[in-house]
Amino acid sequence: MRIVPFLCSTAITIALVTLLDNSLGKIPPLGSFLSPQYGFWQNAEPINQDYGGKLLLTGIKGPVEVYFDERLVPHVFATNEEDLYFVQGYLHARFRLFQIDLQTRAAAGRASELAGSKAINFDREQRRLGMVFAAENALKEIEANATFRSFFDAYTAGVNSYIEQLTEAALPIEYKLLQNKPEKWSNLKTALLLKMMSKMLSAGTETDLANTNAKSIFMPNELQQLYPQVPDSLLPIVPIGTEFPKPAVIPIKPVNADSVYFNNKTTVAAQSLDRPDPGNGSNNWVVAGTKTKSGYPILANDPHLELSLPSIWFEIQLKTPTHNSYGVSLPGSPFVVIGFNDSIAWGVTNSQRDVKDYYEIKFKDQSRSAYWFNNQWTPTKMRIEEIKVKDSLSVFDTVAYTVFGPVQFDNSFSNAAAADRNLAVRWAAHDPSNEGLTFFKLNKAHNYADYEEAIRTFTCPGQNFIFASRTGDIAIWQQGRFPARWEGQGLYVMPGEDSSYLWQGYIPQQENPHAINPARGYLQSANQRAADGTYPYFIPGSYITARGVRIDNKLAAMSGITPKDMMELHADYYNISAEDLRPVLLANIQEEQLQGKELAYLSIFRDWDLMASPDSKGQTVFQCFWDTVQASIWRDEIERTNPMAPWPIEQTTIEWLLRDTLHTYADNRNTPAVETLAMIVTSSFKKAALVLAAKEAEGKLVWSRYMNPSVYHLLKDALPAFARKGLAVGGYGNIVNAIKHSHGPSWRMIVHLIDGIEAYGVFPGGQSGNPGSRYYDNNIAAWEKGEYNRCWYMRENDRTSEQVKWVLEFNKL
Amino acid sequence: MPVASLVAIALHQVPSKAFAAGFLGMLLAWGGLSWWIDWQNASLLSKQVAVLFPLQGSSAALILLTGILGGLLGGIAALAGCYLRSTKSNVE
Repeated sequence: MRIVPFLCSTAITIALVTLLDNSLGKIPPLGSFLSPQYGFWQNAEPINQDYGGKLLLTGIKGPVEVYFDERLVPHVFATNEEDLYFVQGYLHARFRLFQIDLQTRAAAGRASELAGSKAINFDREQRRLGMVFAAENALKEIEANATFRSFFDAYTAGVNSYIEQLTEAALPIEYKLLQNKPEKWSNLKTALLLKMMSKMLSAGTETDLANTNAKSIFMPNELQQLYPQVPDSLLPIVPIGTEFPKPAVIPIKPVNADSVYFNNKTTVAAQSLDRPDPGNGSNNWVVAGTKTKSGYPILANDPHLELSLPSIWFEIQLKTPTHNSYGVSLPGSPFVVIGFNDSIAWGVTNSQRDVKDYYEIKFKDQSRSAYWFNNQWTPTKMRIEEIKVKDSLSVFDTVAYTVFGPVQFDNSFSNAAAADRNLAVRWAAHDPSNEGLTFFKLNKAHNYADYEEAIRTFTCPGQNFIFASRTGDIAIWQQGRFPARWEGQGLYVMPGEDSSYLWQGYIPQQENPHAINPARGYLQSANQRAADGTYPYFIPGSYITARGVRIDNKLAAMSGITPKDMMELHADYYNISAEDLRPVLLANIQEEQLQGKELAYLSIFRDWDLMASPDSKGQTVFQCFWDTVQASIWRDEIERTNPMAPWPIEQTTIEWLLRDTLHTYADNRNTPAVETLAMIVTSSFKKAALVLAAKEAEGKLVWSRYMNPSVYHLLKDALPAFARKGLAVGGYGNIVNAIKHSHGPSWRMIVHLIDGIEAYGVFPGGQSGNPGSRYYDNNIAAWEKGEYNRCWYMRENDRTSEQVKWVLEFNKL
Repeated sequence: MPVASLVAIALHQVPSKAFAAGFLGMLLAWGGLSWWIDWQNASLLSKQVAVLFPLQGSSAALILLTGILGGLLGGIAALAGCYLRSTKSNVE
């Protein structure tokens, strides 16, 4: 009888297969993962992979040809717009499926489905911020327009057409690691992706909760000193001297604002968990023909975002018999978002405007079913949220909706100290809007009038749309639907017991800051305040001043400009903040108190060329020193409340130092001695020198080693092998070339509007999201060196050009 | 694996030989196929996956691991097939 050994070895086989196929913590299921027929090996694309072919698909009307060039940029030639966006959806799915699936699940507060219980609080916050509510409101607006809806429908059908034919072997590698499957696409997901952008760009541009704490410790005059609205050195988007018309909307400050709002000293302990980086900024500029060598305008744009692999952008050309646009698209959404066509070019930067406010809600009881509003108990709308969790049970959350919006923080969701406060969030991204329509129209715009018409309805996140046309017009509009606020409205948590603190109206679109064909021949935006103090509305935000000053100075001095000059400006490492600060800091250093290494670092700082270049030691010394100075000046002040008041922004501290008026804050409150600015600066230098010495011992005194510029995979530390670290680049947030560790120019584009269009672009990644493809990271080296790819703007008669590497034909089944 | 079992059912072998044959067959199949894929891919992906595992970024180690894993699965499956065959003949 050999039945016993048979059973034993069968049992071992089953056990082995099961063991190897079960995810043990972070180890993927080995058997299926390593299988050469189904596992990750199938994601290892041959380096001479043929991307061409013929597809017969339902859901498409006529033939569409996709011509891939040598960088895998698809040039889509369709006979009608539905087919065009169908194919764009198909291509986004073909090359970026995991990315679009992950991003939209995360946007909807469904990250726990992939990441497990560690993402539950992230998901709860997404739901409580009303991300799905916002996307649903947008979708209603989108689907109300039948023509426009057909484009979204076609895009969705294209994504799904790819997903439906996907085999197990062809699944993106991330699904094999996480043991998950892609989900079918829907128009709601496209709307969610746009709301993800809204959150990224307009949910981190206010600090209302921290401001409320600042108000509890600082007097009104101190608040103005620490958190001023208009910096001295501002060079705004709208040139200084532009006259603004009398405001059509004049919001009224509530009569009790001083007593219950401005003088309310109550702190608030609630804090957002996932705060978008307020440095999600960007640069764009345009020079008119009067300043260029060719006599035609040149437009430049570089959006600064979290740098990721796959990149947030996907380069594409979209052509029908009636239009031909080229640029970068957002995978998960149709259209070109930043780009050009044969008549115009456009780009965007973030407005940094505050469009998100908090209101304090008084609930009738623990059930949260009613709240006090306009002298009566008003019912809330309850939204029950089920959060599915990988390898665990679902978590349920109930979010109460008020007239202001969802109650983001209440006793079931906030840090313990905040338990008795209920805060509803009023966010412009909740309002019905159709941002995609603007991009659709820009793709087809011929001239200034078309551009102006296209951007008019753009609501949130507020963007600076820069424009140039073949006919020589240049323009910029800060566009969004912005609340018309009374002075101080929305800086702090507002009373939510009646309608008097609601937004009373919006700044009329025509009064949004804008400039057209200025005499000086250039326009620029770099996340600074759009207009100087003469603009008649109160427009708080998280502005960044330094880059705009540098770009403005450079453009003003230039003439006979060529695209190469614009490339050099993109790559500019000049630290204009340090130019202002170095003399003040040096004047305050008590050199006689320094010794040894400290003196060596001082001379590096003194002799530095003010360039934040990758091999600079001066930039490292400066940044480390300056960060310590700022912390030494402010920490004792802002830590008087818990959680902290906001840090005064860098520009404010610079201007205080330049005016030599910082002495009252220089003293450290926590020591008996009275510190002078010179003492603070000197002790900061000594502290910084210790950090620098430690860094130097690790070989990290050089700026690029200190900063470690890196592009991470979307799953960050979970997949370090898919990241590209230690890039040889410099820069910083206040520098035109705004690279900061894993953040920076996510796409650099220069468009010269000559006949035939001369355009250049590069992003730090590649077209393919597959780490097993040579097109995963093939543009990083060029980006790192400040080099560009020439964008091949294909025309009808280029179909047979040698630049076509592969042809993918779509036909109706 | 089913193939390894079937072969061992069809052919009469002593258990150790069945295991060795199954092991060797699958080692060659998985190892060979993964080597071929890796060669075409210029080791782009295997170098990264061999960091995840961790195998110090060695593509060769990853191919070897794939082969050995395939071999183990094949060998044990063959062993099961072999025992099944002898069980059947005993019953007969």
